[in-house]
Amino acid sequence: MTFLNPPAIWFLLLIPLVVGLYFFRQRKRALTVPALFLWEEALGQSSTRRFFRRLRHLWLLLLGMLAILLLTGALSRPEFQEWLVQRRHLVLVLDNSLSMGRAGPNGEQVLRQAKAKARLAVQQLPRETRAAVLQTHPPQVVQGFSADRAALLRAIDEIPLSAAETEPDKTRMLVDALAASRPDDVETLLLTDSSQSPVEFATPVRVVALEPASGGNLALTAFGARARLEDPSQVELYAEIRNFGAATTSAQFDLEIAGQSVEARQIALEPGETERVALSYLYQPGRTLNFAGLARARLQNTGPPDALPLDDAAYAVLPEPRILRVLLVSQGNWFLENFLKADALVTYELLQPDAFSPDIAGGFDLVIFDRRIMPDTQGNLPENWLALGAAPGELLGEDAEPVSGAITQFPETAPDLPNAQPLAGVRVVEALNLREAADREGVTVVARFGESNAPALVLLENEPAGRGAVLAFPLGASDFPLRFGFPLFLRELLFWTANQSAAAPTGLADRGLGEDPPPDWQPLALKEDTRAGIINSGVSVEIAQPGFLLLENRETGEEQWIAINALNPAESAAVESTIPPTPETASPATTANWAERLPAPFPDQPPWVWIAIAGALLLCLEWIVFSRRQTLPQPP
Amino acid sequence: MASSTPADSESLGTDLFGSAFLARLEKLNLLYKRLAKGGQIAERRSVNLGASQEFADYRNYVRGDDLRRIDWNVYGRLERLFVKLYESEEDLAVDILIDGSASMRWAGFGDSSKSDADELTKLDYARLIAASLGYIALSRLDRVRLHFFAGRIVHSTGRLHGKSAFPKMLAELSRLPELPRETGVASVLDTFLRKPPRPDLCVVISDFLDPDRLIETLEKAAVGRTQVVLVQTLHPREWAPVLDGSYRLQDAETHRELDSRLSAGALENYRDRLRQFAERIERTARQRGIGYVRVLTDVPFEQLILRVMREQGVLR
Repeated sequence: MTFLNPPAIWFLLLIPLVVGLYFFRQRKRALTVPALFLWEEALGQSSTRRFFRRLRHLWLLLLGMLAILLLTGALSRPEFQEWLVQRRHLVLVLDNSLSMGRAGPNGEQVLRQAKAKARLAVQQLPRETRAAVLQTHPPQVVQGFSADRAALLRAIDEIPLSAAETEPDKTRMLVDALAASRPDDVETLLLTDSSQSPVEFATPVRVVALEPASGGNLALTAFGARARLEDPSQVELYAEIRNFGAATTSAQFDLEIAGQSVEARQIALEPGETERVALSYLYQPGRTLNFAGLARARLQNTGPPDALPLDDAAYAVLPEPRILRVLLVSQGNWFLENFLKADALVTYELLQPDAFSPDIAGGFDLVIFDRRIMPDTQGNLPENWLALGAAPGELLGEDAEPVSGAITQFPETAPDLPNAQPLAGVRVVEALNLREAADREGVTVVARFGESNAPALVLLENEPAGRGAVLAFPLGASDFPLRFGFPLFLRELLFWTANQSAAAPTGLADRGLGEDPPPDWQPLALKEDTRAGIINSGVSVEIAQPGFLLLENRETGEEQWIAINALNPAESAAVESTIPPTPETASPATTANWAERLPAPFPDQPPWVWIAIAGALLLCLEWIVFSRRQTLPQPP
Repeated sequence: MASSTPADSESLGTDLFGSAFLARLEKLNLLYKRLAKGGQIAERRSVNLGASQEFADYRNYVRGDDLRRIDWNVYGRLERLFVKLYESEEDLAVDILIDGSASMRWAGFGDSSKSDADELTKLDYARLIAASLGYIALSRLDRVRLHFFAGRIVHSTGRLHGKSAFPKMLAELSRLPELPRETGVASVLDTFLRKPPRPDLCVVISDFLDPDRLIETLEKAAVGRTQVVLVQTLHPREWAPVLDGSYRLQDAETHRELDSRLSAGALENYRDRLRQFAERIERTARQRGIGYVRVLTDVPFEQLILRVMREQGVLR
C-alpha cells in the first residue's frame, strides 16, 4: 500500500494534541466539600463502577485517536493497488467477450464487475497519471491516453458486450502501439475472465482475474445436425454437454426439431465431465418435421444455478435434402425401376444403353448401369456411377469368364455401409471377374468385398470428386433377399455413390466463434414456416457472427443472444479461471473486492473516501458523547 | 474561615443590628413551651402558674395547699374552698450552641472563590442567628449563654443578663476561639443535655453534617424539661451545587479525598441524598418534640428572624 498524498501523514501530529486534550479534560480540580459522605453515597463509588468509568474515559481517548488516524489515512489517499503509482501511463484493457455477460457468484454480471474495477482504478489514479481504455472484442482503443477522469469513466461505461472474435494479436499490437509512444512509462491492466494465458504484452501487465463461479456451469459445447450418410431420409443430431463448473450439476436436456419436442432426458455431470448425445430422426415428407429448419437443444438446470446461461441453448440448422437425380441406363428392370420410384428422395430417367452418351450423364447426380450392359464411355466415365452386374472393361480381367462362390471376405477399412453386412455369406451364381480392379490413374479403389481374386463389390473414387461402385453380379444372380435386404443395401450404396454427404449443406454445423462462415451459408434462407415455429412472430434473425445469433424483437426491442450449433469451448470455460494467483494478479483483485462490496449509493468511491466518512462519523460520535457530558441541567 | 475575624464580625454585627432592627427584635419572645423553675424575676410569661400578681384561674383546694392562697370571698358565697392561681413570671436559662467546625466555615467551592468570598459562611450566619436570639432573650431579662463547639465544647461564655450585656455578647461572638475541624455534633449535644445544670432553652445552630450517630442521638436525647431547637444552616451552593468536570473532592473536616467526574446525574443524586438527610433529621426532631428550622445562608437575615423563625414556632 502506498499513499498518494504523503504530506498528509503530518496530520498524525494531531494525536499528541488529542492525548493532551484528553488529559486536559481528565485533570482533576481540587474541591473542598463540607461533607464527603453524601458525595460518596451519591456517586456510588464502588470499585466496579469506578473501573467502568475509567474504561469509558479511556474509550473516548481511543475513539479520538482512531478518528485522527482514519482522517489522516483518508487525507493521505491510501492506494492499495501499488502498481498504479509505478508508471505514469496506464492502459486499461477490458475483456468484453460474451462470456463476460455471465452472472458472477454474487449474481452481478461479470462485465459490470470488471467495469467497477476499472472505474476504481481510474478514480485512484495519481493526479499525474494518464490512462487509455481498450476493449478486446473487437480490439479497439475506446479512449486514448487522457488525464480526464470523466472521459475515461465514460469510455469504460460505453464498452458493450460483443460477440466479435478474439484477436489477441491485434489487442497486443494496439497495446504495444500505445506503449511505444511512452517508452518505459506504461503499464497495462487487463481485466478478463479468460482461462487462457494472458497475452504477452511488451509492457508490464497485471491481470485482474475475475472470480470463478462457485456453482455448476453446464454448457452445450457442440451441437450439430446432418443428414444420415447412409440414409439421407434421416437426420442425425449430435450434442456435447460439459460441466465447466466446480460442482456436480444436473440438468434436463431438451431437444426440439421444428418446434416439436423430440427428446427430454436428465443429465448429471461431474466437474469436467462430458456427455455426448447422438440421435437420429426419420425424415417424413409432408410433415412439420422436415429437413429445413432449426433444431434446438436446451439445458434446463435442475441443480445449482448455472454460471453462464448463455451456453445452455444451441441451435442447429437442419440440412436441406437434395433430390437425387438418377439416370438408369438399362433395357428395362422392373425391380430397379420400382425401387427408384418408391424413394421420395430419388427421381430417375430410364435410358436405353444405345442412347447413352457421356454428355447426357452430366445432368444427373448418378448414373446406374444395369446388367452387363456397359456402354462405351469412351474412357470418360460419369462423375458418379453405379454398375450393377456390369463393369467398365478396364476393371475386368483377361479371363472374362464368370465366377461363382460365396462372399466371405470384408475389407478392414470400408465406408460406413451397415447394410452391406448381409452380403457376408451370400452365394453368387454368376459374377463378373473383377480381378483387375486395382488403383490406376484417376481411379482409387476404396474397398473390395469378397475374395481378393474375385471381389463381388468394388468401391472406387474417381478424381477429382466422383465415386464409382461395381456390383459384380446382377440382382437375381445371388441368394441375397430381394424383398428386404437387397433394397436396404442398394439404397445405401446408391446414396454413397451419389456422394450425398458432400452435397449436403454445411450450414452452420460445427462452426464456432471465430471461424469463417461457409461461402454458401445462407441462414436467412430458412423456411419461413419453420422459423416461425421456433421464433415468435415479430422476431427477426440477424447474423452477427457464425456461432451466435442476435435475436431482436422488433415490437419490444428486446435482444437476446443465442448460440448456433457450437459454442467455442474457451468461452464456456471462461468461468473456470486457471490463471495461477500470483502476487501481481492476486493483490489487485482481492484488495479491490472489498470496496466493491460496499453498499450503494457510493459503490464506486475509492477507499479513502470511505475512510474519511468513517473518521468524520467517529469524530461526530466523540463530540456528541463529550458534549452530552458537558451539558448539565440547571439545578432547581 | 475567611470571614471569621473579630473585626469582620463586629462590623457585621454593627451593620446588621441597627437600632430599627433591634427595636423590632425587642417585640419578639422566644417561645418556651415547657415548665421551668425560675429563680429570678423575668419578663417572660410562662405557662407555669406561680406567685406573680396576675390572676390566672381557680382550682379546688387540696390538702397541703398554702392556706394563704384560698379565696375566702368565694368560700363565703359558695361554701367551697378554691385556691387562686396566678401566672408565673420567670426568667429562662437560654443556651445557644454554635457549631464552629470546618464544614461551617466552608465558603463555597474553590473554583468560584471570588463570588463566594463575598457571601456569608455558615458560621457567620450562625453567629448572626445567635446574636439575634441572644438579643431577644436579653431583652426579656433571660439568662443567655453562648457555646462554641467543634467535636466538643471549645468555649463557653458566662451567663449574660440584661440588654446591657448585648455588646459583650457581640464581642464574644466576634472573638472566635481556635476551633478543631471536626463537628461531633451528636456527641456534643448528647453530652450537653445530660450534664447539669440543664438550660430551659437550648438552641443548636449547625449544619448537622455528621454521619455518625446524629439520628440515634436525637432519638435518645435526654431532653427532659429542656426545650431544644435545631437550626440547620446550609450554604446554597452546598444545597444545590453547580459543578462540571473531573474533581478531586476533599472533605473539609476529615480531609478524605474522592476522585470523580461529576455528571448531571451525579449532582442530582447528591441533591437527593442531602435533602433526604435533612428531612430525616427534621422528622426525628419533630417526633421528639424538638424544634427544627432549616435555613440557607442566602435567605435575607431579617426575613429569617422576623418571618421564618416565627413561622417555625421558635419566636412569637
